[in-house]
Amino acid sequence: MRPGVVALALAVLVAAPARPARAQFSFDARRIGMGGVSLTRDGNLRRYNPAYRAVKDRPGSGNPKVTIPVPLGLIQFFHDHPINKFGSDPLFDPKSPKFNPFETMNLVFNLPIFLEVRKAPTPTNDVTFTVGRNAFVLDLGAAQILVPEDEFGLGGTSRLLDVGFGIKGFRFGVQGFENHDVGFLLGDSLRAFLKNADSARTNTTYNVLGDGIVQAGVAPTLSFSGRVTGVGSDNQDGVYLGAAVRSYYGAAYFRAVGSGGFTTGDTLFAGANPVTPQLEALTYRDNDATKSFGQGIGGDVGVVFISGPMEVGVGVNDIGAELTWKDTRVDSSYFDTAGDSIVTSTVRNHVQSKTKMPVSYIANASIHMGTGTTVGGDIVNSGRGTVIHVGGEQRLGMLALRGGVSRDQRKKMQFGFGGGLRLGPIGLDVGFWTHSNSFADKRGITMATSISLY
Amino acid sequence: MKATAPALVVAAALLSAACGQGRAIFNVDVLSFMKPSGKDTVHYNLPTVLAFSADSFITPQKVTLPPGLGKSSVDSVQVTAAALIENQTGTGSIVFQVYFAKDSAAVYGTAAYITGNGTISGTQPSTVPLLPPTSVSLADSVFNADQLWVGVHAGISKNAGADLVGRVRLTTVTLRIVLQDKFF
Repeated sequence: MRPGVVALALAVLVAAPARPARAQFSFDARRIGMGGVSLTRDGNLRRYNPAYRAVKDRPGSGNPKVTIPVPLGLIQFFHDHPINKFGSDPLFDPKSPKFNPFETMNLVFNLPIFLEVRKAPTPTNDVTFTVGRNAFVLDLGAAQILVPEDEFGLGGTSRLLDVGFGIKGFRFGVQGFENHDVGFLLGDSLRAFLKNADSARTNTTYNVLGDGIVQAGVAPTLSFSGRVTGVGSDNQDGVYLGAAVRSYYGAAYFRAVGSGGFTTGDTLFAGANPVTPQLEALTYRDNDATKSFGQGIGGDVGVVFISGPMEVGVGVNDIGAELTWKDTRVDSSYFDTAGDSIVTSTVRNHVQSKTKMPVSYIANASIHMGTGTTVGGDIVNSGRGTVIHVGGEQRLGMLALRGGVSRDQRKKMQFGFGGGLRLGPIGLDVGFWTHSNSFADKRGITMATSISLY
Repeated sequence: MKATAPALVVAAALLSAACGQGRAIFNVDVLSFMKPSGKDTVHYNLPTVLAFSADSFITPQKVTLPPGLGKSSVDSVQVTAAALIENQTGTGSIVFQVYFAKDSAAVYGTAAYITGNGTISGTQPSTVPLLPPTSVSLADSVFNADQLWVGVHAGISKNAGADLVGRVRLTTVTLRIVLQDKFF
């Protein structure tokens, strides 16, 4: 039972606030120093906005050929946690009295690639438990704010590969796609217990509602991107359009919807008064990817407007992408109290089901001033929550100074600053970035370092 | 698959672990464990005209505590208790004591945590409150367990005269257990 309860609690406190402001969202210290915004026409812009495929790099924009992170954080981490002592390291040893599952999960969500120059402090406050034979109240104090009232989870869409060829603005290629989304919602009783210090009650179910999906496949894509105004001019001013039509061939998908938790007995505290695990779930999966694919049609659109130093773009992906899976199996799982086990049975087989790819988008703007100053911002939604980045760079000969802010998926402001030194084909950059760990509002600071080859 | 430990406690304690190095404070209503079996009341009946003393004990009552307590060291424990003597006839005095131990056999073999005294005099029936001071003990290993046994002793001394008849009824028995270290 305990692993189940542990999982439940971890789901609440790790996945929950885990829309975390990641310690690093990029391996490029330049971008980190500008609050996450990219002022060059790479990365997210070409990923989310097909019109950018028609836009060449801005002359002198400083797009590196490759950026190599310098993982100073790993040096620090392995100094603190020697590999040959992992077995007895409290960070990885659940049997250790100093083991704290939250620190371990925080490590997973915030890989220590870069150097943590100031750790995000964990909040401290007293927690009061009131225990009676049929009463149990948990007062988390100020930490109640960490308990999510709304759905929380993780999700996103990735393009795992993109190969193809193009001619005259048209391009045909095959993309691999992957979409995952896991959402949780605290049941009313559990939310009241944690959030409002409501007493636990007898014969009451405390659970978490969950809905998760993973789907992946390949998508032959025909796209076009081109300049529709200003064609022939010697500058880049004009309007650029891009569009893509994609036929999705889903190779695998799995979806689970249900709830899990436990139900209290007739008495909360009186010796061997058990709680009963509670699990109810419906799972959907395609039967055999070698026989049938999940098929659907969707597309991307994008537009870019460039006028002198100013640039604005909007791109939207996976519009109308609904996949139909013709051969799906639906299983039902529940906890059988009589048999003291989880029972799974197929309720429907060889039936049709449908899934959707989430619509993702980016809107960006930047202005390149003649004084070596570049400022910009973007709004990105990769399927679960919007992130806003605003930042700028000031070039002073070989030197560059950078700064920026971001509003993360928790709607919390984070700040970045940094600088760089370019010596011919090599650039050395450093960026500092504030972040909050999963359980606190106070910020820590990560220092990112990277080398760029131009 | 059924759990004998209150799973909510485990979940809640895990949640509380997210609160850094703060203290975990358990306020335990011990009386709520005693009431259903009637062990919150000690009856006495000394039918003699002579001065006489007698002792009355309840059968130790088990108190289930959160399971994490068994792995933690206790920083401090406060025990608070109060009772009422509800006397019908006779006069005398009553001492009531509250005991705690890790197992039932040891309950009355240790020193009492709480001792209260009350005198019954004058016209009867009467009600006499017993309000002993809260006791505080540090690093008490008795409470470093996920179950606890509580016992109550009433020492009754009767004056010469009418039969001494009545009861001692507990009105409060609470524990405040403070943990300073990690709960898990």
